[in-house]
Amino acid sequence: MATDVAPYQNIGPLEKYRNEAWKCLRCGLCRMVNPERVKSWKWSSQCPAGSRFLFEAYYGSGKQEMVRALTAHPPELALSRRLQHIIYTCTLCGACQATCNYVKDLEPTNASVALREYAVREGWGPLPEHEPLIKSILNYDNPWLQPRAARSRWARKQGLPKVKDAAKDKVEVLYYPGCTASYDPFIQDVARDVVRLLGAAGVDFGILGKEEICCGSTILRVGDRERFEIVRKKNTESLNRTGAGTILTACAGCYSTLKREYGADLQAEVFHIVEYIERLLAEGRLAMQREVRRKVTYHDPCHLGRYCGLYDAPREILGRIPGVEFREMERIREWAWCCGAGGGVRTAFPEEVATWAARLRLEEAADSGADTLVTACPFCELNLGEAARGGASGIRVVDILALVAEAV
Amino acid sequence: MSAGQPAIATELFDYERKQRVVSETLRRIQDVVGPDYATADPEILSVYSRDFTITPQRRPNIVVLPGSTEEVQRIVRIAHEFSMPVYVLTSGFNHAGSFIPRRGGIMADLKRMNRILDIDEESMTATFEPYVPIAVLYEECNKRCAVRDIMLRPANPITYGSACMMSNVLSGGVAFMALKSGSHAENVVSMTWVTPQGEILVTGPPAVPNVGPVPVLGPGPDVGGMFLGAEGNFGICTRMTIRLFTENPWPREKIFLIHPVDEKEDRPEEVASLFYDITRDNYAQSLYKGSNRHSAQIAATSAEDVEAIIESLPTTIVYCVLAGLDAEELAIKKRHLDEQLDAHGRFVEMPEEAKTLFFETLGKTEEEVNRLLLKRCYTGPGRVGRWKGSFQWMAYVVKLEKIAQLEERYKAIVHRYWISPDYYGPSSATTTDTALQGPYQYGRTVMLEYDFYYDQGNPEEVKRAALVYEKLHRMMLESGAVNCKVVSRSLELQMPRLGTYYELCKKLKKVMDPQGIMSPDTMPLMDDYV
Amino acid sequence: MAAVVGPENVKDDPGFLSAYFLGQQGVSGLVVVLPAAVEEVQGVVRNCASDRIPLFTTYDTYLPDEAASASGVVIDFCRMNAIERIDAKNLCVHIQRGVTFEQLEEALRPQGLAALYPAAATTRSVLCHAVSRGINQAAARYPEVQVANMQVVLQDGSVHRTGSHANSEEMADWKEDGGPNISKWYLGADDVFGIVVCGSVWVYPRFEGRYFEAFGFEDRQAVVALAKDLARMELAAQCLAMNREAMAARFGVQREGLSAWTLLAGTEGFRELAAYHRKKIVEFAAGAGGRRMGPELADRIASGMSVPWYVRPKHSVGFYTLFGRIPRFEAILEAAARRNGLSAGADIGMTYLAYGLGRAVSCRYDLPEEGMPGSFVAELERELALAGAFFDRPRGALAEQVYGSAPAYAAQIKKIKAMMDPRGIFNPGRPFKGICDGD
Repeated sequence: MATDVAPYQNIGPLEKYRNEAWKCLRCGLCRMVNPERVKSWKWSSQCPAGSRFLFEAYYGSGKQEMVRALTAHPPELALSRRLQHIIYTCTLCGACQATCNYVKDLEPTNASVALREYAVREGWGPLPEHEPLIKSILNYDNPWLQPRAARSRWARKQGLPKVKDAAKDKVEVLYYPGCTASYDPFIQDVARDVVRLLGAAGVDFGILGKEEICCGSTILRVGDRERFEIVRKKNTESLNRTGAGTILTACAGCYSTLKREYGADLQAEVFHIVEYIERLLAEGRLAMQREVRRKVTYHDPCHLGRYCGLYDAPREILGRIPGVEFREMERIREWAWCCGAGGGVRTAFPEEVATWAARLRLEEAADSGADTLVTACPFCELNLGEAARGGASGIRVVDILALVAEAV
Repeated sequence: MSAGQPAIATELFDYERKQRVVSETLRRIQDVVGPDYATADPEILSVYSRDFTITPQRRPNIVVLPGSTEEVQRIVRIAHEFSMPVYVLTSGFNHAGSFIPRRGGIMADLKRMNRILDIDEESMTATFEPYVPIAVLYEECNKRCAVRDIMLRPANPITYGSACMMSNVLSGGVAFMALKSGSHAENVVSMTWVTPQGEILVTGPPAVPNVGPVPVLGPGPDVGGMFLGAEGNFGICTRMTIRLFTENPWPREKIFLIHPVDEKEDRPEEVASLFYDITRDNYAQSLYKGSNRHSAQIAATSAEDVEAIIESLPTTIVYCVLAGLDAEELAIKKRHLDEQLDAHGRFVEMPEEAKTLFFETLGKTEEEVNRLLLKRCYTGPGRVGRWKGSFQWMAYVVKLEKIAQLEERYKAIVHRYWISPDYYGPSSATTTDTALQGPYQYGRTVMLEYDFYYDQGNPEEVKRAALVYEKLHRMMLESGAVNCKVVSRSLELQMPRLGTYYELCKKLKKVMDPQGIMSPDTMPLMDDYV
Repeated sequence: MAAVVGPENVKDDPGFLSAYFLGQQGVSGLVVVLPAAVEEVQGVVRNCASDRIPLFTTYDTYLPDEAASASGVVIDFCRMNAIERIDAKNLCVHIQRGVTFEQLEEALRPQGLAALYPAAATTRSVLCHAVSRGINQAAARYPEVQVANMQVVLQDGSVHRTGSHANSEEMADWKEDGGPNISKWYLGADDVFGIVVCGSVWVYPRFEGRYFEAFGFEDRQAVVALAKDLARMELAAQCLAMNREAMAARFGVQREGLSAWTLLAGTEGFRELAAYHRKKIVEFAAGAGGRRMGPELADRIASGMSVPWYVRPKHSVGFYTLFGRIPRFEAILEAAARRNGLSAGADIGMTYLAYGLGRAVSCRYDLPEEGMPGSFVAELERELALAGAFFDRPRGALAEQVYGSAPAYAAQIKKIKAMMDPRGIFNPGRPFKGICDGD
């Protein structure tokens, strides 16, 4: 029965969400897993910022109320450090909107986005911690302050098949690794696995290498529409120039940004690797024959799940890997707990929110009986993996492609 | 300063001094809970200033998140010391503006007190803290067994699963299975209260050492009752033990839908007589009278859908829940229901095809509908609440035989001051409907409910809501009914009518809370109430 | 007093007074008044309040021993025995305090109605039993509070109408108050806050289907477990386990031929449903090893369970607990019995009645008529209470013990008492000494 207003869809001016604030029932659905789905007390919360700080303002309903107060005549509130904290500790995971839409047409996540963009316009955002990333994207086409030339170093690993240069050669499929998989040594194997799997399936693909430009998701999520537009235009031109009909990415953030924020300007069709692998498996172009003996559970990345509705493909894939014993956590799909990294939170509040949320997710994974937590987002993998390495959960965090590559 | 008058809360008070008092109070409270859990930041205060009821906005001066009974006690003592009002919040979902801090002061948000402390199969009780949502309590109880394959569950109220069980019990909420379980008040075993003077009081058998959660009243005078329906005027509840009930697994507990033979008939006296028949034989678990308008509220996905659904469904829909130890018992009860319907002559069971179609409009299978209504409790107010926003209702307890006369008066008011109850228009229109919740054991009484949906952002709708609400309250009270669940204006209008009882409540307020710091003005109990 | 109730209704003769006490002679210092109407009670209370004269009432057959040496006024409600209204449609009767079970039964039977039969009544008054939350035979199915509305005469002589009757007696008989549920404090209060004079009590249809079964067991554990389960499965409205001694005393049957324990289960409802419940009870009892009693005993039980059960004052100990704790308390009983040269199983009637869907159990130990030291009951109650037995209406020394162990609870009672009875006239010293300052 949900109206299914996805996060980041048709973000309007702040006043649009003011009217919605009047309609909020303060029912508390934005704080917890959908009551129809909740299974236990332990795993009943769903809002990382709200669960962390507990004041009403940090939940979806609270942020709608912020909007109402800011746009009242005269305003009841003004932007401030506290309001900044409230706005920017939100990972924009979309969970509040998913549960709210179960019974109402409100858009608390979108209200949070609108708040964020308003804060930027008024000079209260992005946070100082975000600026280096934004400048790095604008200057180096990646948020990691890394040189462009190093972007495709991951592809030069010994034993990896040579990859076509899509900047020079026409390819059917453009593989778009994204900045995290390109630069982060913990995540580069994701990109390598993509290459191996596409190669094994005989897909005609290439990469842009050092010509690849950041999708701009980071800038968008911290509310800086203006600077995001700069990156979007630039990247759209770059991607269109390749002439590829399909853009494939293994990053949930890049996927949701390219697919939903780039609009009709982007000529290619965008797929996430899990969709593509599912298709390859169905067509028999890939076969998973080697056993992978793991007890596995799957973490739904927000940008893949709630943002884009992709829940089944990764489960299909995991279900087909021989030897894998799949267990679901309690909070899955639309009701999945956010890893804590999104919305600029990992950068600005690494311990306070990002690692804190990740540890809870790892505990939930352990409770499911799994020894491996699988995800399909490098950013989730980064945040969860770091928390796993620093903690005592005993859970190993891997990208889904690692298991697929192991099974192929 | 006279008794019952908080020093801080009057407009005549010196602002600068007030700010100093707030700062000092905040500092003391932060010493108790830590700086992360208490604040006077306006951004935080703002969100605690209003809800969806017709109660006007008012901000607290401090918000605090206590984590234990002892912290609550220390905070109340500080409030006492500074004569600062204290209001309390759990989920915030309520129909009476209960947590709105009418006189400012301290808002105690009990979100950190969210544990389920014990679910005891032996005594069939559950003990929990304030911020335990209804659906969560249900899920945890349902993992425990009463006997054989019959599991435990709380008597879930007909409200959001995300609302908190404790506050629903304290404000007189109604269980869907009230026909069996009675009122919430009957099922409270024990409570722990921090009184306005900062003492801790445990009520019920657990007050006596070594007794444990024996689910009986006492010892001696039941002193716990006074806290129920008191809107926080006598303290803050930090722990509650309630009786649990049994649940037969699907399909041994099942909803049957009944409607008048003439599907468009809307005759409350006939419903009343049917309810009398069924309840007299004490075999149904729940009865609820809804309508096509109610169903359209839940099922419609657009305003255009609404008319179509209303047209396709009977005007009156009765939900009758039967449960059995096994299929045989369920069948016996079902046969009896069928016989009673035949004998009554004016009602029939909804045919299977129509029922399937009805459930399809809800987007669910029959089993899912059962699970939703019976087990998970109600998830939302449906479509109209979806686009309107505010959902205020009132509920009065009456004998079944009185319903018809009250419905006539209700319709007269609505036709005059709202819009026709038969009109269910596009999103700019307001709407209202009635339901029978309960009845209570053996049909001795029933809760007659009137729902109102309006958009708080539309001043005309708010005016209309406030006016009709007042007129209906007055009509019901003048008819002799009593409000059973605390809702906006109910206590203010009702209590002064209740003679000696009202005088006793006012006296009790002075005894329990001489400084008048606990939830002042949520009830008309204090000398300076205006 | 004579001006209020009429001179013929004021008694102070010691012989007359002694009848209000058990085992006391030569009582003086008290005056008994017998009002016939609420207004008369109001007058009596006003008079006593203005002169600070203690007022004594009882929810049991007799007044407490301590009152025998007091001076004051005793109110006897035997003349307030009007059944004011039977609301057959809404299953409620409106009665005065003096209405007895027998009287009510006679009035209800022609209308096909009945009130619940008490399982351990200390009074013949229907209202008193209900207000003191007396246990009923059908406690497995029906809630403990069977009174909906009350009229309570307060110290200033005003009448507090509780529940929905505060607004109207016509529209509903709803027990919850329209705000804070203060009226609950009158329940189990022995009139210490005000005198309950009238009330609305729930009544029930007399079902066509009403059956009783009895099964013999040698093993107490098995019979108690079965009683709990039958109550939880909602098969039995009346569900109790009685030992041989209790069975013999209650139903007047020979001990020989009885098993060590008997499970009694009663079903009621429309005929087919009650028959089904009966069938299942028989099945489960057989499965648990129970020996079904013959029809003669079953008939005797059926008629024995259609009347109120009264307890013998000072020879009965009753408390609540959880089923799993029964052995704990039986051990205490056995030890106490042995100390006095008795055997619990042979000499003491033991009854375990399933309560509240089998959530708890009402335990009753009925002691022999003779041969018990006067202190036996008090000592037994003390030990049981220390071990966690719950006495919901403790009196005398037990009350001091129970309330003394819950000081905050007792303090709250004192607060209410100070508010409701500032002159301390209502049943002074109850439920515990020191309830009033200066007590």
